[in-house]
Amino acid sequence: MSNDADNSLKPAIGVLICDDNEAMRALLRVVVELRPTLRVVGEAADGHDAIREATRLQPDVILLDLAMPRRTGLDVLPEIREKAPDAKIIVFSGFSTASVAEGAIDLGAIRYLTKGADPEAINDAIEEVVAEATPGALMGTSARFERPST
Amino acid sequence: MDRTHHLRVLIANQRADRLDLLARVVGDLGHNVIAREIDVSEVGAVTARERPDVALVGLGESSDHALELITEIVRGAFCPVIALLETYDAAWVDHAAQRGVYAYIVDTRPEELQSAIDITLRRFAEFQAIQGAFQRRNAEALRESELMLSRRRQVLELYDGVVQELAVAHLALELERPDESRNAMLGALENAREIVGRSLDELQSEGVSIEQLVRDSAPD
Repeated sequence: MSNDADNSLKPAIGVLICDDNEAMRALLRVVVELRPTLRVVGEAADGHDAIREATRLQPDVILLDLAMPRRTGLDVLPEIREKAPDAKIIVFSGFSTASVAEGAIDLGAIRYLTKGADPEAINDAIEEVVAEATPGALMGTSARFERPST
Repeated sequence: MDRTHHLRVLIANQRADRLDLLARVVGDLGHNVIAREIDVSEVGAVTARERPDVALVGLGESSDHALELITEIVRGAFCPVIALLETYDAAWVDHAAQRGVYAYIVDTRPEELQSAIDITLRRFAEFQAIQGAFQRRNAEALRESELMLSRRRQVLELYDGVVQELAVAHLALELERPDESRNAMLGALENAREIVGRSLDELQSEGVSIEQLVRDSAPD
Protein backbone atom coordinates (compact mmCIF):
# COMPACT_ATOMS: atom_id res chain seq x y z
CA MET A 1 0.00 0.00 0.00
CA SER A 2 1.24 3.52 -0.75
CA ASN A 3 2.12 5.91 2.01
CA ASP A 4 0.19 9.10 2.81
CA ALA A 5 2.65 11.44 1.06
CA ASP A 6 2.30 9.51 -2.18
CA ASN A 7 -1.48 9.40 -1.84
CA SER A 8 -1.77 13.17 -1.48
CA LEU A 9 -0.24 13.59 -4.94
CA LYS A 10 -2.56 11.17 -6.67
CA PRO A 11 -6.15 11.88 -7.69
CA ALA A 12 -8.63 9.73 -5.83
CA ILE A 13 -9.72 6.53 -7.53
CA GLY A 14 -13.23 7.08 -8.92
CA VAL A 15 -15.63 4.23 -8.14
CA LEU A 16 -19.02 3.54 -9.74
CA ILE A 17 -21.32 1.38 -7.59
CA CYS A 18 -23.83 -0.78 -9.47
CA ASP A 19 -26.29 -2.67 -7.28
CA ASP A 20 -30.08 -2.87 -7.28
CA ASN A 21 -30.26 -2.89 -3.49
CA GLU A 22 -30.45 0.69 -2.27
CA ALA A 23 -29.19 -0.13 1.24
CA MET A 24 -26.21 -1.97 -0.24
CA ARG A 25 -25.36 1.00 -2.46
CA ALA A 26 -25.58 3.38 0.49
CA LEU A 27 -23.34 1.19 2.65
CA LEU A 28 -20.83 0.62 -0.14
CA ARG A 29 -20.62 4.38 -0.57
CA VAL A 30 -19.81 4.74 3.13
CA VAL A 31 -17.28 1.89 2.92
CA VAL A 32 -15.50 3.31 -0.14
CA GLU A 33 -15.37 6.82 1.26
CA LEU A 34 -13.78 5.58 4.47
CA ARG A 35 -10.55 5.58 2.51
CA PRO A 36 -9.37 9.04 1.38
CA THR A 37 -7.76 7.59 -1.76
CA LEU A 38 -11.14 6.50 -3.05
CA ARG A 39 -14.28 8.38 -3.98
CA VAL A 40 -17.67 7.32 -5.28
CA VAL A 41 -18.40 9.02 -8.60
CA GLY A 42 -21.81 7.50 -9.21
CA GLU A 43 -24.37 4.80 -8.60
CA ALA A 44 -26.52 2.58 -10.82
CA ALA A 45 -29.50 0.45 -9.82
CA ASP A 46 -29.80 -1.84 -12.87
CA GLY A 47 -27.93 -3.05 -15.93
CA HIS A 48 -29.09 -0.24 -18.21
CA ASP A 49 -28.08 2.41 -15.68
CA ALA A 50 -24.74 0.69 -15.22
CA ILE A 51 -23.90 1.01 -18.93
CA ARG A 52 -25.12 4.59 -19.06
CA GLU A 53 -23.24 5.73 -15.98
CA ALA A 54 -20.06 3.85 -16.89
CA THR A 55 -20.10 5.52 -20.32
CA ARG A 56 -20.80 8.96 -18.88
CA LEU A 57 -18.49 8.89 -15.87
CA GLN A 58 -15.58 6.75 -17.16
CA PRO A 59 -14.78 5.61 -13.59
CA ASP A 60 -11.51 3.97 -12.61
CA VAL A 61 -13.29 1.06 -10.96
CA ILE A 62 -16.78 -0.37 -11.24
CA LEU A 63 -18.27 -2.45 -8.44
CA LEU A 64 -20.80 -4.55 -10.35
CA ASP A 65 -23.57 -6.69 -8.87
CA LEU A 66 -24.71 -9.60 -11.04
CA ALA A 67 -28.37 -10.10 -10.12
CA MET A 68 -29.81 -6.80 -11.23
CA PRO A 69 -33.15 -6.06 -12.93
CA ARG A 70 -33.63 -5.24 -16.62
CA ARG A 71 -30.18 -6.53 -17.57
CA THR A 72 -27.95 -8.59 -15.33
CA GLY A 73 -24.35 -7.78 -14.55
CA LEU A 74 -23.22 -10.67 -16.75
CA ASP A 75 -25.32 -9.32 -19.63
CA VAL A 76 -23.84 -5.84 -19.45
CA LEU A 77 -20.23 -6.69 -18.63
CA PRO A 78 -18.99 -6.85 -22.25
CA GLU A 79 -20.77 -3.63 -23.15
CA ILE A 80 -19.38 -1.80 -20.15
CA ARG A 81 -15.88 -2.99 -21.12
CA GLU A 82 -16.48 -1.56 -24.57
CA LYS A 83 -17.95 1.75 -23.41
CA ALA A 84 -15.53 2.33 -20.50
CA PRO A 85 -12.39 0.48 -21.62
CA ASP A 86 -10.16 1.88 -18.87
CA ALA A 87 -12.47 0.97 -16.03
CA LYS A 88 -11.50 -2.04 -13.92
CA ILE A 89 -14.57 -4.12 -13.19
CA ILE A 90 -14.90 -5.85 -9.84
CA VAL A 91 -17.91 -8.12 -9.68
CA PHE A 92 -19.46 -7.96 -6.23
CA SER A 93 -22.02 -10.71 -6.05
CA GLY A 94 -23.94 -12.99 -3.74
CA PHE A 95 -23.20 -16.02 -5.89
CA SER A 96 -20.21 -17.86 -4.55
CA THR A 97 -20.01 -20.65 -7.12
CA ALA A 98 -16.76 -20.79 -9.04
CA SER A 99 -18.49 -21.22 -12.40
CA VAL A 100 -20.27 -17.88 -12.02
CA ALA A 101 -17.02 -16.20 -11.03
CA GLU A 102 -15.19 -17.79 -13.96
CA GLY A 103 -17.95 -16.68 -16.30
CA ALA A 104 -17.67 -13.10 -15.06
CA ILE A 105 -13.88 -13.12 -15.41
CA ASP A 106 -14.15 -14.60 -18.92
CA LEU A 107 -16.40 -11.67 -19.80
CA GLY A 108 -13.82 -9.15 -18.64
CA ALA A 109 -14.16 -8.69 -14.89
CA ILE A 110 -10.79 -8.26 -13.17
CA ARG A 111 -11.82 -9.42 -9.73
CA TYR A 112 -14.75 -11.35 -8.26
CA LEU A 113 -15.69 -10.57 -4.67
CA THR A 114 -18.53 -12.37 -2.98
CA LYS A 115 -20.90 -10.36 -0.84
CA GLY A 116 -20.01 -10.65 2.79
CA ALA A 117 -16.50 -9.30 2.18
CA ASP A 118 -15.23 -6.93 4.89
CA PRO A 119 -14.99 -3.19 4.17
CA GLU A 120 -11.20 -3.43 4.22
CA ALA A 121 -11.21 -6.27 1.71
CA ILE A 122 -13.48 -4.31 -0.63
CA ASN A 123 -11.30 -1.20 -0.52
CA ASP A 124 -8.09 -3.21 -0.83
CA ALA A 125 -9.48 -4.91 -3.93
CA ILE A 126 -10.34 -1.52 -5.46
CA GLU A 127 -6.86 -0.15 -4.87
CA GLU A 128 -5.17 -3.35 -5.99
CA VAL A 129 -6.89 -3.58 -9.36
CA VAL A 130 -5.89 0.00 -10.12
CA ALA A 131 -2.31 -0.53 -8.90
CA GLU A 132 -1.98 -3.71 -10.95
CA ALA A 133 -2.97 -1.84 -14.08
CA THR A 134 -0.63 1.10 -13.46
CA PRO A 135 2.70 0.99 -15.40
CA GLY A 136 5.57 0.54 -13.01
CA ALA A 137 3.41 -1.01 -10.36
CA LEU A 138 4.51 -4.17 -8.65
CA MET A 139 3.56 -7.26 -10.59
CA GLY A 140 0.17 -8.22 -9.27
CA THR A 141 -2.25 -11.03 -9.79
CA SER A 142 -4.64 -10.69 -12.65
CA ALA A 143 -8.21 -11.94 -12.52
CA ARG A 144 -9.09 -13.33 -9.11
CA PHE A 145 -12.01 -14.89 -7.34
CA GLU A 146 -12.12 -14.13 -3.65
CA ARG A 147 -14.58 -15.52 -1.17
CA PRO A 148 -15.06 -13.53 2.03
CA SER A 149 -12.95 -14.68 4.92
CA THR A 150 -14.94 -16.45 7.58
CA MET B 1 -69.03 -43.17 -46.32
CA ASP B 2 -71.35 -40.17 -46.00
CA ARG B 3 -71.37 -38.03 -49.08
CA THR B 4 -70.49 -34.42 -48.62
CA HIS B 5 -72.91 -31.83 -49.94
CA HIS B 6 -72.99 -28.11 -50.49
CA LEU B 7 -69.26 -27.70 -50.29
CA ARG B 8 -67.59 -24.43 -51.10
CA VAL B 9 -65.25 -25.29 -53.96
CA LEU B 10 -62.45 -23.34 -55.59
CA ILE B 11 -61.58 -24.46 -59.10
CA ALA B 12 -58.41 -23.50 -60.93
CA ASN B 13 -57.17 -24.23 -64.41
CA GLN B 14 -55.06 -22.39 -66.94
CA ARG B 15 -57.77 -23.05 -69.54
CA ALA B 16 -61.00 -21.09 -69.17
CA ASP B 17 -63.05 -23.60 -71.21
CA ARG B 18 -62.10 -26.39 -68.80
CA LEU B 19 -63.06 -24.19 -65.87
CA ASP B 20 -66.57 -23.77 -67.31
CA LEU B 21 -66.92 -27.51 -67.80
CA LEU B 22 -65.65 -28.30 -64.30
CA ALA B 23 -67.93 -25.67 -62.75
CA ARG B 24 -70.93 -27.44 -64.30
CA VAL B 25 -69.81 -30.83 -62.97
CA VAL B 26 -69.25 -29.42 -59.48
CA GLY B 27 -72.62 -27.65 -59.55
CA ASP B 28 -74.36 -30.86 -60.65
CA LEU B 29 -72.88 -32.62 -57.60
CA GLY B 30 -74.64 -30.08 -55.38
CA HIS B 31 -71.64 -27.96 -54.47
CA ASN B 32 -71.02 -24.27 -54.85
CA VAL B 33 -68.17 -22.94 -56.94
CA ILE B 34 -67.09 -19.95 -54.90
CA ALA B 35 -64.08 -18.98 -57.00
CA ARG B 36 -62.57 -19.90 -60.34
CA GLU B 37 -58.97 -18.95 -60.98
CA ILE B 38 -56.55 -18.95 -63.86
CA ASP B 39 -53.75 -16.75 -62.53
CA VAL B 40 -51.06 -18.17 -60.27
CA SER B 41 -50.45 -14.71 -58.83
CA GLU B 42 -54.02 -14.43 -57.52
CA VAL B 43 -54.99 -17.93 -56.48
CA GLY B 44 -53.24 -17.80 -53.09
CA ALA B 45 -54.98 -14.58 -52.05
CA VAL B 46 -58.37 -15.86 -53.29
CA THR B 47 -57.92 -19.08 -51.27
CA ALA B 48 -56.99 -17.12 -48.14
CA ARG B 49 -59.97 -14.82 -48.57
CA GLU B 50 -62.65 -17.35 -49.54
CA ARG B 51 -61.48 -20.32 -47.37
CA PRO B 52 -62.97 -23.00 -49.65
CA ASP B 53 -63.67 -26.52 -48.35
CA VAL B 54 -61.74 -28.04 -51.23
CA ALA B 55 -59.78 -26.87 -54.28
CA LEU B 56 -59.78 -28.65 -57.64
CA VAL B 57 -56.82 -27.92 -59.90
CA GLY B 58 -56.90 -29.07 -63.52
CA LEU B 59 -53.81 -29.76 -65.57
CA GLY B 60 -54.07 -27.24 -68.41
CA GLU B 61 -51.69 -26.39 -71.22
CA SER B 62 -48.63 -26.13 -68.99
CA SER B 63 -47.88 -28.70 -66.32
CA ASP B 64 -45.71 -26.17 -64.48
CA HIS B 65 -48.61 -23.73 -64.34
CA ALA B 66 -50.79 -26.35 -62.64
CA LEU B 67 -48.01 -27.17 -60.19
CA GLU B 68 -47.64 -23.49 -59.32
CA LEU B 69 -51.40 -23.22 -58.79
CA ILE B 70 -51.18 -26.14 -56.37
CA THR B 71 -48.23 -24.59 -54.53
CA GLU B 72 -50.05 -21.29 -54.05
CA ILE B 73 -53.25 -22.93 -52.80
CA VAL B 74 -51.44 -25.31 -50.45
CA ARG B 75 -49.25 -22.54 -48.97
CA GLY B 76 -51.96 -21.31 -46.55
CA ALA B 77 -53.12 -24.87 -45.70
CA PHE B 78 -56.73 -23.67 -45.70
CA CYS B 79 -58.08 -26.58 -47.75
CA PRO B 80 -57.01 -29.78 -49.46
CA VAL B 81 -56.22 -29.79 -53.20
CA ILE B 82 -57.29 -32.46 -55.69
CA ALA B 83 -55.57 -32.57 -59.07
CA LEU B 84 -57.61 -33.39 -62.17
CA LEU B 85 -55.78 -35.04 -65.08
CA GLU B 86 -56.91 -36.02 -68.57
CA THR B 87 -54.33 -38.78 -68.76
CA TYR B 88 -52.13 -40.33 -66.11
CA ASP B 89 -48.67 -38.72 -65.82
CA ALA B 90 -46.55 -40.38 -63.12
CA ALA B 91 -43.82 -37.70 -63.07
CA TRP B 92 -46.33 -34.88 -62.76
CA VAL B 93 -48.30 -36.67 -60.03
CA ASP B 94 -45.04 -37.12 -58.12
CA HIS B 95 -44.25 -33.40 -58.41
CA ALA B 96 -47.79 -32.51 -57.38
CA ALA B 97 -47.57 -34.80 -54.36
CA GLN B 98 -44.35 -33.11 -53.30
CA ARG B 99 -46.15 -29.79 -53.44
CA GLY B 100 -48.90 -31.03 -51.16
CA VAL B 101 -51.71 -32.27 -53.39
CA TYR B 102 -53.99 -34.68 -51.50
CA ALA B 103 -55.38 -36.75 -54.35
CA TYR B 104 -55.64 -36.91 -58.11
CA ILE B 105 -58.22 -38.32 -60.49
CA VAL B 106 -57.98 -39.07 -64.19
CA ASP B 107 -60.82 -38.58 -66.65
CA THR B 108 -63.09 -36.67 -64.31
CA ARG B 109 -66.48 -38.35 -64.07
CA PRO B 110 -68.88 -36.84 -61.53
CA GLU B 111 -69.15 -39.91 -59.31
CA GLU B 112 -65.38 -40.36 -59.22
CA LEU B 113 -64.93 -36.70 -58.40
CA GLN B 114 -67.40 -36.96 -55.53
CA SER B 115 -65.59 -40.02 -54.12
CA ALA B 116 -62.24 -38.27 -54.38
CA ILE B 117 -63.66 -35.25 -52.58
CA ASP B 118 -65.14 -37.41 -49.78
CA ILE B 119 -61.91 -39.29 -49.17
CA THR B 120 -59.79 -36.16 -49.40
CA LEU B 121 -61.94 -34.25 -46.93
CA ARG B 122 -61.78 -37.12 -44.45
CA ARG B 123 -57.98 -37.32 -44.75
CA PHE B 124 -57.70 -33.56 -44.45
CA ALA B 125 -59.84 -33.55 -41.30
CA GLU B 126 -57.65 -36.29 -39.82
CA PHE B 127 -54.52 -34.35 -40.73
CA GLN B 128 -55.91 -31.24 -39.10
CA ALA B 129 -56.86 -33.18 -35.97
CA ILE B 130 -53.32 -34.58 -35.69
CA GLN B 131 -51.83 -31.18 -36.36
CA GLY B 132 -54.12 -29.67 -33.71
CA ALA B 133 -53.05 -32.32 -31.21
CA PHE B 134 -49.39 -31.56 -31.91
CA GLN B 135 -50.02 -27.85 -31.53
CA ARG B 136 -51.83 -28.39 -28.23
CA ARG B 137 -49.02 -30.61 -26.99
CA ASN B 138 -46.40 -28.06 -28.02
CA ALA B 139 -48.37 -25.27 -26.36
CA GLU B 140 -48.62 -27.33 -23.18
CA ALA B 141 -44.88 -28.05 -23.23
CA LEU B 142 -44.18 -24.36 -23.76
CA ARG B 143 -46.46 -23.43 -20.83
CA GLU B 144 -44.73 -25.95 -18.57
CA SER B 145 -41.32 -24.70 -19.60
CA GLU B 146 -42.33 -21.08 -18.93
CA LEU B 147 -43.74 -22.07 -15.54
CA MET B 148 -40.50 -23.87 -14.66
CA LEU B 149 -38.46 -20.87 -15.76
CA SER B 150 -40.63 -18.54 -13.71
CA ARG B 151 -40.24 -20.76 -10.61
CA ARG B 152 -36.48 -20.87 -11.05
CA ARG B 153 -36.39 -17.10 -11.42
CA GLN B 154 -38.42 -16.68 -8.22
CA VAL B 155 -36.14 -19.04 -6.31
CA LEU B 156 -33.10 -17.18 -7.58
CA GLU B 157 -34.61 -13.85 -6.57
CA LEU B 158 -35.38 -15.16 -3.09
CA TYR B 159 -31.89 -16.61 -2.74
CA ASP B 160 -30.35 -13.35 -3.92
CA GLY B 161 -32.61 -11.52 -1.47
CA VAL B 162 -31.31 -13.55 1.46
CA VAL B 163 -27.66 -13.12 0.47
CA GLN B 164 -28.15 -9.45 -0.30
CA GLU B 165 -29.79 -8.73 3.06
CA LEU B 166 -27.16 -10.73 4.95
CA ALA B 167 -24.39 -8.85 3.16
CA VAL B 168 -26.06 -5.55 4.01
CA ALA B 169 -26.42 -6.68 7.64
CA HIS B 170 -22.76 -7.62 7.75
CA LEU B 171 -21.54 -4.35 6.24
CA ALA B 172 -23.83 -2.32 8.48
CA LEU B 173 -22.50 -4.16 11.50
CA GLU B 174 -18.92 -3.52 10.40
CA LEU B 175 -19.78 0.16 10.02
CA GLU B 176 -21.36 0.17 13.47
CA ARG B 177 -24.88 0.77 12.27
CA PRO B 178 -26.84 -1.70 14.38
CA ASP B 179 -30.31 -0.56 13.36
CA GLU B 180 -29.59 -1.01 9.64
CA SER B 181 -27.97 -4.35 10.38
CA ARG B 182 -31.01 -5.50 12.37
CA ASN B 183 -33.44 -4.45 9.62
CA ALA B 184 -31.40 -6.26 6.99
CA MET B 185 -31.29 -9.40 9.15
CA LEU B 186 -35.07 -9.28 9.47
CA GLY B 187 -35.34 -8.93 5.68
CA ALA B 188 -33.05 -11.92 5.21
CA LEU B 189 -35.14 -13.91 7.69
CA GLU B 190 -38.31 -13.06 5.78
CA ASN B 191 -36.79 -14.19 2.48
CA ALA B 192 -35.45 -17.35 4.09
CA ARG B 193 -38.91 -18.12 5.50
CA GLU B 194 -40.37 -17.69 2.02
CA ILE B 195 -37.83 -20.13 0.56
CA VAL B 196 -38.51 -22.71 3.25
CA GLY B 197 -42.26 -22.19 2.85
CA ARG B 198 -42.05 -22.87 -0.87
CA SER B 199 -39.94 -25.96 -0.35
CA LEU B 200 -42.51 -27.25 2.14
CA ASP B 201 -45.34 -26.51 -0.27
CA GLU B 202 -43.56 -28.49 -2.98
CA LEU B 203 -42.98 -31.41 -0.63
CA GLN B 204 -46.63 -31.34 0.41
CA SER B 205 -47.71 -31.30 -3.23
CA GLU B 206 -45.62 -34.47 -3.64
CA GLY B 207 -47.57 -36.06 -0.78
CA VAL B 208 -45.11 -35.52 2.09
CA SER B 209 -46.91 -34.22 5.18
CA ILE B 210 -45.47 -31.59 7.49
CA GLU B 211 -46.03 -33.94 10.46
CA GLN B 212 -43.89 -36.57 8.76
CA LEU B 213 -41.16 -34.02 8.04
CA VAL B 214 -41.16 -32.86 11.67
CA ARG B 215 -40.95 -36.48 12.90
CA ASP B 216 -38.13 -37.25 10.42
CA SER B 217 -36.12 -34.22 11.47
CA ALA B 218 -36.51 -34.82 15.22
CA PRO B 219 -33.31 -35.93 16.96
CA ASP B 220 -33.22 -39.55 18.18
